[in-house]
Amino acid sequence: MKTTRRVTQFGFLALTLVGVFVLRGNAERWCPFGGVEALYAYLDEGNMLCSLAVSNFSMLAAVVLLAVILRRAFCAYACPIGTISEWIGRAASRLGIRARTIPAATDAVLRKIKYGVLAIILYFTWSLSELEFRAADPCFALISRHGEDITFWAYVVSALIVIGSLVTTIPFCRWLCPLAAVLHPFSRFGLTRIRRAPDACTGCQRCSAACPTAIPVHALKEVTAARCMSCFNCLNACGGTKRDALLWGPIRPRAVQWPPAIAVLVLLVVIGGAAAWASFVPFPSFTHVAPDRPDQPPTTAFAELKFDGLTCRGRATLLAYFLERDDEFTVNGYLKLEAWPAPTAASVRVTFDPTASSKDAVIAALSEPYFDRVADTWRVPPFRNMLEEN
Amino acid sequence: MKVRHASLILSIAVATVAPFAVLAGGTSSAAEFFARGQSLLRSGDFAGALADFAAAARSEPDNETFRQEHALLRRIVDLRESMATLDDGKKWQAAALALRSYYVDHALLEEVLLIDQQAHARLANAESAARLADTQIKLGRDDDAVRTLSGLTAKDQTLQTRVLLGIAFAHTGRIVEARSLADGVPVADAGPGLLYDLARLHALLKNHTVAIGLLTRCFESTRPSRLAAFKDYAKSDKDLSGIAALPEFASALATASKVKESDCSSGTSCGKCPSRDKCAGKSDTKPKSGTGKP
Repeated sequence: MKTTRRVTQFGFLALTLVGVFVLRGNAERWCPFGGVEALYAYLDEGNMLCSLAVSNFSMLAAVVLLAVILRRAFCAYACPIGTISEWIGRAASRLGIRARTIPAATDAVLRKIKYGVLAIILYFTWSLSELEFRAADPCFALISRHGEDITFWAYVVSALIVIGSLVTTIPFCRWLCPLAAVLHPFSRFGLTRIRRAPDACTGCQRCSAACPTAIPVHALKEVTAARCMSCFNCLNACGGTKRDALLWGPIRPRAVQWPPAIAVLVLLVVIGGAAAWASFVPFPSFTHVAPDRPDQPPTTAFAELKFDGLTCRGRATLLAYFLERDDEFTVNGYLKLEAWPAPTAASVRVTFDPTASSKDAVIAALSEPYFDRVADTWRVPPFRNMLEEN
Repeated sequence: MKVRHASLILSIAVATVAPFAVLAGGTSSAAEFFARGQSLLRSGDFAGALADFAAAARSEPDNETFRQEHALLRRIVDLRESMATLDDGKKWQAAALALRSYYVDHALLEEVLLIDQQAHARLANAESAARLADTQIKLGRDDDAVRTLSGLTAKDQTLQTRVLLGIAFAHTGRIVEARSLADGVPVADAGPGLLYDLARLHALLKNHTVAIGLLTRCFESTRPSRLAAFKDYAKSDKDLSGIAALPEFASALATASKVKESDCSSGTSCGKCPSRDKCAGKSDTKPKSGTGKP
């Protein structure tokens, strides 16, 4: 099982790195915590924050579903930050740097910090409708390719995680991760459990020593702690009779035991399903309806376009502004804009009244240079019409 | 064995370097297209420049400058073609202002002159005369500028036309006439444009202290966002060459703006702007002068 988990971790980390650095994709749109951050804005105004997409919600749903089934398995198998942090700790151990054991009472206090982190992030993000902490986000430091919003602080936080991981086991995941705080209520009532068979247990405490989240497995009949990541380190370390002192299975019936490999299968199906759903049912990340929209015309037409330079919600707002202009490029029959901001070739769908306007008029409004009489200067919209160039 | 190793290393080296060489080649040809396009544009060959800008933008699609200059020139070419069929006077004027702005930005002074001549032929007012004369002065056609400005009736003359006429006189050696125009120009409510031109005139008349004082006031009344460009322009203005070496000129260049930045959001249009009324008629919304002065 140890190998299976490591292969899974490697797979997700490799997928992330290839997606970011080779395919140069927008990995941020797959971050489940992005779904938490954008939730309020989406419910309030129907738009995602910054360059987040509705796929963030599908990933959040997947991770919550996983928490309900497999506790915090996402953290142990799929999260790149968790993987890097864990591997750094393992490398440090091989180099002879011993991980410090934090006293249980201190650990209990430190574990509460993540709720404060979550509360602060959500307060500012939801009230200001901006990803206020993105500039210091270690995950953004990893996936943004040193993007325009990144600051020195993101690397400072990343460096602290690296240093922390050298001296103790996955400190960020245990104490600071806001996504972990979101998952805990679901994980606490997770549908699978690790159980200890007292008859077979020798009391060697290897299970507790192996637990990355410091759960005293040897003293429990059943691991109900929300921080259990279903990593099965305890099962692997178990020194009980025939190594069956620890079992993993559903909460009911208690006697049923499952092979741990099922966890990986469930994880892949749930995350893969969420990714597929987000890809095949793409809800727009940004929607704008013309404020002085006329009564719904008998027929409507769509302009399906691809634009470079439409990277975030701010740019999508600018796009809507261009569609509402009242100069020579006015789009008279403009009704609705739906956009999927992306680093390159962002999709745009403009609904308009074909009796009042045309697709060419929409394209001209969004991409043609225009003369700004107030500033006495020519301006070129930041959007490049990809379809026209092809 | 050694030969095999050597050929393997050579193959790897070629495979590594080749893509960069191809990329570098693409970049170089794009830059060459763009440079040739700029050269054609300067010579007035708009169609040729457009073709080269298009080639540059195609060769290097991620280059924002190439893309923007191509899109802009394509629009300018369309606008130039549409001018001939524009019957509506207001539309013609708007198009002329837009074209003029492009020509000024790209230092196409002959094109500026052409559009100023057409505009003055249509409008024949102080504003169109001042623009045309300013361009003529810049092109060294001071006699033409004198004729343009002298053609205005007394009631059409403004402080701006008077100062420009003074500059044209100073350039053609008619110092006495130039001095009489320079004296007594009221500057209490003058905007930065008039202050600057008056500073030019006084510099040409060797009234260095007055010129420096006017220049300082000009910079003080210029919006912060335009100040740096204005100062750069002043540094290379031949009319100010007589004072450029003075330490007071350097002090004038260090002058800070004393006016607030415009509230203009610089959006697509002022149609929906709540500050629209405040902007209308402001001196800094006037088109650029033919000299390229900000």
